[in-house]
Amino acid sequence: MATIEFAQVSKRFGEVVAVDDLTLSVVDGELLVLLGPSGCGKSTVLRMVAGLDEPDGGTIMIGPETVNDVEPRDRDVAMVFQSYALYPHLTVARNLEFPLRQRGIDRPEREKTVGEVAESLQLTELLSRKPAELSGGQRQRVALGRAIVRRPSVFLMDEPLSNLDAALRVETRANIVTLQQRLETTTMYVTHDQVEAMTMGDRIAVISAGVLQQVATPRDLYALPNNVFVAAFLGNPPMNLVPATVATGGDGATVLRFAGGEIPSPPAYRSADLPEAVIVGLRSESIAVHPDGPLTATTTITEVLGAEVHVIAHLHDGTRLVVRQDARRPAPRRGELIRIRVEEAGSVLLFDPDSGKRLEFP
Amino acid sequence: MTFVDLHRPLRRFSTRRRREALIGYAFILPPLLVFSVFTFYPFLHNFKQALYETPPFPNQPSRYVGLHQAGHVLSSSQFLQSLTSTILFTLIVVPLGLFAGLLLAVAAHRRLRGIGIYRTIFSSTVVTSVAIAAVIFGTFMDPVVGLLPWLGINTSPPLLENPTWALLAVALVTVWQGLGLSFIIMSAGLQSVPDDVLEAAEIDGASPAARFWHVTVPLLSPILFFALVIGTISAFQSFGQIDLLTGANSAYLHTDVLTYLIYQNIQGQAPNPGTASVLSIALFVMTLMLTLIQLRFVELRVHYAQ
Repeated sequence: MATIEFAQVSKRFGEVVAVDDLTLSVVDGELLVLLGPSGCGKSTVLRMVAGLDEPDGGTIMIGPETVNDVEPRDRDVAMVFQSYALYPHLTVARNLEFPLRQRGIDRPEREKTVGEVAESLQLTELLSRKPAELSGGQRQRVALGRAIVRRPSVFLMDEPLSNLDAALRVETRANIVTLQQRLETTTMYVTHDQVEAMTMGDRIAVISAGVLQQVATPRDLYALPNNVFVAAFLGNPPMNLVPATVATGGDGATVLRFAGGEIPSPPAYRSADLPEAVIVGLRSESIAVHPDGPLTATTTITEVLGAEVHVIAHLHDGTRLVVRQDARRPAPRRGELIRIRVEEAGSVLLFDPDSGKRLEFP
Repeated sequence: MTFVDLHRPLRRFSTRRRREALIGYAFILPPLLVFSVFTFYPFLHNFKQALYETPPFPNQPSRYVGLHQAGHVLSSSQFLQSLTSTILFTLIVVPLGLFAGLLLAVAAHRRLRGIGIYRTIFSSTVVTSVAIAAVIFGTFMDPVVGLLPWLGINTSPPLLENPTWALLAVALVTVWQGLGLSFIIMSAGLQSVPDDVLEAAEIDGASPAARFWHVTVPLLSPILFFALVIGTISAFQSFGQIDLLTGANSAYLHTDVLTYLIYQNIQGQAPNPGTASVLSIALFVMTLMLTLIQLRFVELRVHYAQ
């Protein structure tokens, strides 16, 4: 049980800044997901907690202790690697036992603990096999077992599901969450998969190009992204980001003018002092195809996903818009001119086109 | 094939196969000729020559003595001493060579500025000739102008004239000579040990020594085994440095390994090709047996990645 604190942590590899001035707190017992595209520095953050990489600046604390100069083996962390990194020459039992053996725990206790862990991960039948004789999912469970066997104060998981097939990934995702909640061990989980992040994380830290963009619960992150990067990274389809100019309408109210029409400025921003140009963030489920809609667009394609359909359309300046609708509703044909309206004005967000930051509600 | 089909496709197929076979034979012909003349023929000729004895007088024809000569040679005290020397020599050279090569490889297996210079130095003995190495080390150990006496290591009689130390001295030169190859093999092996497995061990609480013995060495075991087999064979065949450093005194200095004894029976004072043949066959059988034993027993402990 431990908190993890990053204070102004930086790491560079040669000219490349992998992690830039990271300040972040991981709460005791939570599962924090580090989410970002490949090469954004999220794995480096994890490796610095493990002690495999040393920060160039700043401090990392695990619990009350600053660990910058502590050897990996003295940090009381366990890590699950993307490749699993099992010991190929050892049986499953020996793999699970390895961390206990290295800590000089005596044999009866080792066997008891390994037995329990194997039982909880359904590995009992496989204890005498070598990793090469296991399936991907079984190897993944051994890697997980090796991490939990000595009850560390922190779990670090580096894309542990990315080598599994889709169905197994969904199942294992739930198993890891259940396990983590049962053990209540502080966990940092790295992934580039936003679905994984949304479904597993108590909180998500979104990282891009080494810089922390936002830390929030999945719900808050989805509803109120801090900037266009987060808005575009989360959600499937991601938030529609449409450039607009701010103008005064016929009745004197502020309107947002697009290439294909105009909509009233969202109520939350009504008293705000808006810049001349903004980027309007529209979630695909808060807009709809409607004959009276103020925006005109051309349908490019419709994607049927089963229960829902994604209508992909273009405003006449080329801006792409995705509308999510129920599959039972009639979908527009390709090339058809459609009208779109905003269904939930409260969910419309405005971003500054220069900085990309979300404009604060007044 | 139960019946012969005389239609054209099959005939074309068979002439194509014949043409491919001919090309194949054409490719192996040159090496086959070379091997036949310099390896297969002498090897087989040995078995015949072992049955003939050459009288110790010049210009006398060899005479057939059958297995009598083999029994005589293999029970001679000269052979038994030579066998002991060979085994001792191998027991020093092989483990020391493997361990030193591995140690250097582990030391050089890290990303550091200028590490390439060390790698070049460590592997340089591969391109050093035995003769030059022997001359250099001979000078090192020379009682008058050598480095060792200057450092205060001054045995009496001098190292290379001392029956107690000569074999060790010659063995150490051999280890040095083989170090480059051993280093290169071990370095190549280390490349195949995955970094994340070592990192996992580090997080799992293994000390550097534990990581070396419990992770690196087992994962390196196929390479270690390979190096053990070829190292043993090459130790059995060492000759140049022994001849150059201890020469004619080998028997007295207990550095008379089998290859040296074979050489003496061909080029020495009283040449006896028959005896040399018996010794060659003995060396061959020893090498073969040892390799089979290694394959049968040591390999059981080798972990091959799949």
